[in-house]
Amino acid sequence: MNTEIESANLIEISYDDKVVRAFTIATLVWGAVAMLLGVLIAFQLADFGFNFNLPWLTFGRLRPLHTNAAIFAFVGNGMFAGVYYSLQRLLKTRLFNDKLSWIHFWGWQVIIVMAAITLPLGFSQGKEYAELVWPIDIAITLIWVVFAVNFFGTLKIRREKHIYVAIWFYIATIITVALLHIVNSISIPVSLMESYSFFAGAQDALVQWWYGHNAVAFFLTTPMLGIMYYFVPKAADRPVYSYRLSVIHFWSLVFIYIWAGPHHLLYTALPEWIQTLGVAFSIALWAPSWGGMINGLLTLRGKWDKVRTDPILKFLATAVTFYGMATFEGPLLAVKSVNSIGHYTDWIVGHVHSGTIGWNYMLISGMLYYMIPKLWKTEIYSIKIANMQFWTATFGLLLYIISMWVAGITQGMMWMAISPESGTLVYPHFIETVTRIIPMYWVRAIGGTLVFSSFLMMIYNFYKTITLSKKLEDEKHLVRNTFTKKNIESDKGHRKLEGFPAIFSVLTALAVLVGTIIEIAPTFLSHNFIEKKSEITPYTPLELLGRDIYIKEGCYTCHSQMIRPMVSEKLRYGEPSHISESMYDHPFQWGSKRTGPDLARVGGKYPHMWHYKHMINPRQITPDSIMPNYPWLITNKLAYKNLVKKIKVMKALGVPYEKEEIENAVSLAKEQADEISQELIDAGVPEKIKDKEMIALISYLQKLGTDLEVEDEEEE
Amino acid sequence: MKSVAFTNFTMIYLPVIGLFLFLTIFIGVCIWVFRNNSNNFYKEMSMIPFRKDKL
Repeated sequence: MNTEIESANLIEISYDDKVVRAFTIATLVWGAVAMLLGVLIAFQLADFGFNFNLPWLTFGRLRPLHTNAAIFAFVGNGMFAGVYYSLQRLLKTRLFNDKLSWIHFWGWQVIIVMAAITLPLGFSQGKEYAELVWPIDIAITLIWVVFAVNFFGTLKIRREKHIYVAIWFYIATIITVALLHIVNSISIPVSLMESYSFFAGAQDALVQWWYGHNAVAFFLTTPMLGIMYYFVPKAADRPVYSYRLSVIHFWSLVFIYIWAGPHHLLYTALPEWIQTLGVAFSIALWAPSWGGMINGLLTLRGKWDKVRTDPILKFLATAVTFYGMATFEGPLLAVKSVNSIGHYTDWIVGHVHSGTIGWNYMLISGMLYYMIPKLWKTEIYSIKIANMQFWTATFGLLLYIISMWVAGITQGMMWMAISPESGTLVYPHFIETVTRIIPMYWVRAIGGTLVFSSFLMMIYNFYKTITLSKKLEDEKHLVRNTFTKKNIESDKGHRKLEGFPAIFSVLTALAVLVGTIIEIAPTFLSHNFIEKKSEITPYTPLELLGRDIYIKEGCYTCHSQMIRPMVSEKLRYGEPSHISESMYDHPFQWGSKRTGPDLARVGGKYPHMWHYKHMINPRQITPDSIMPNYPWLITNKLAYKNLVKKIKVMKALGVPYEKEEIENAVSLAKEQADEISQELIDAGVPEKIKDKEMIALISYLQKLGTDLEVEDEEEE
Repeated sequence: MKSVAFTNFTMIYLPVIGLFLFLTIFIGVCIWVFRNNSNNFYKEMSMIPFRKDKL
């Protein structure tokens, strides 16, 4: 209840810290889950036995859960806690609506639980960091709208005239994440748990990496920068080094970040100019990123002695340093010559973790050490445990990053090595390049375990801190209202703009949209300038079912389907991929990591029996393989139920299926399944294989890259 | 393939517009924040997180 104190335009208010406390606890819970999953999949890569031959514990299904949990559950809850805590204090007002705050909180937790159930069960859309099925996508949109209404409502009822720079970063986050999520999630449902992406092939790749890159930019970076601009000055007890620099930092970052998506698609079948654009803007990102980092670090000027002793500043200073390191490494990896070595390797994985652990984990830890004693009105239980956590996390992270540098560069160089005498590959067997880096996978798993342990230390420390807390009551604050009509009218230019969050938000959206439109619009007109290959045929009904299984098992998390135009790749995999080869792929499956070899031209390379044996136990074919076993593929029955509907949806998306194919989809699929299974049965496989998932997956793999080969033979 | 796509791509003005817009905004923001007499304003802004509200 607010009481106006008439004499001095003062108002008595209380902040909604209850919901901030709830988000804080959720951050700790989901952070532990995300890191535990990370440790498990790290051990799975070091030794396939950790997959336990169970479908729901396999790397391909748990990796998406790990990434989604780390980004949306851990950082997401941490972001909401930090945003709601700082927003109320910066605007001198309680959150707009308590009910909306709780709908936001519980809605987000339900979404996370749904993700934790559906992803291990194999319900996936097959797009990185956007794997969740369409009903969950809709739930995310609705809860994000609730967050936005609560946020902008709070801005409207504020009592502080000016909107501090941290809030600008929050505004950019809310607008851009909504845009990214909605556009990238557009799909046509087949059933409650299945849908096909509206986009295909190169278009889908561009939209996906426009989303994927900017999920990093606007979910893992901009809200964290807002948090940095609030919590670093508060913890250091001095204002930000340069407010001017923060203004330049904001506008440059929101304008440039959105352009850099195509750097995830270098040397692919994307037009050269888009790739070059991605590289140019990635390099340009160095400037605002480092401007922000310098601003954060220089805020600590004169306080560096405290960094040695105060765990809050220790975590915050390290976070900002890692922000600088990760944003240096990102553009470096976007330079084409560096990218040719680093792409598809563990170097990228190391880079991502220097961001999520070095920047996000450290920043959230510093923020929690600052907030929790204030939220629960107590002292940190143990500074010693906080310091121990810091050093364990830092050491674990360094082990992680260094092992991934070594693994990534080693493997990248081995893939490219060509003998000058014979002109052939020095390491023709892909597995040679894997066994060489297995020791690094063990080091990474140990590093990850240390990071996870450090997080458990923090949970224990906060558990003890919270138990020290006495009965919590809403604290009353007297605030002065400086947000009056008269005050706003006296401002001019940017200062006036800062007083109008609606116009400010529109301009921010425009800054983001310029890059988006220029980057993505041409791909929608791609038919004007992309040479089509008429030989490319749609998947048969059985191949389409097989493709769905490929997505369900998360094969794209370890196998790419994109041969780059490099000599070494041509020698290893065949002709570079053509842009039109994936034009019927809803969604595209180009992949971003090669833990196993590229599969773009695997079709027809091996007999059906090779795939059958390889899928049941890869070590029957490649003794040192680290691929999990997929024994359930020969027991799970193939689901023909929605096949006709699936093909109808594909037809609606522009895939040229004939009417007869749609009507006879099931019988055509069974016919093809009979042909494949007959070959296997002749080789001694039991007859019951006919209607199992294995057959569909084999049919899909045997199709990959074969259309273009037909054309090559004809040319010869 | 890529060279064919690049040769036939007729919208090269798009990146140029983007670059022009970005440079304009960047230079505009720089000029704006370094305007004369804005020192005190930015000092005041940077103090927002420190405004005491508990009396």
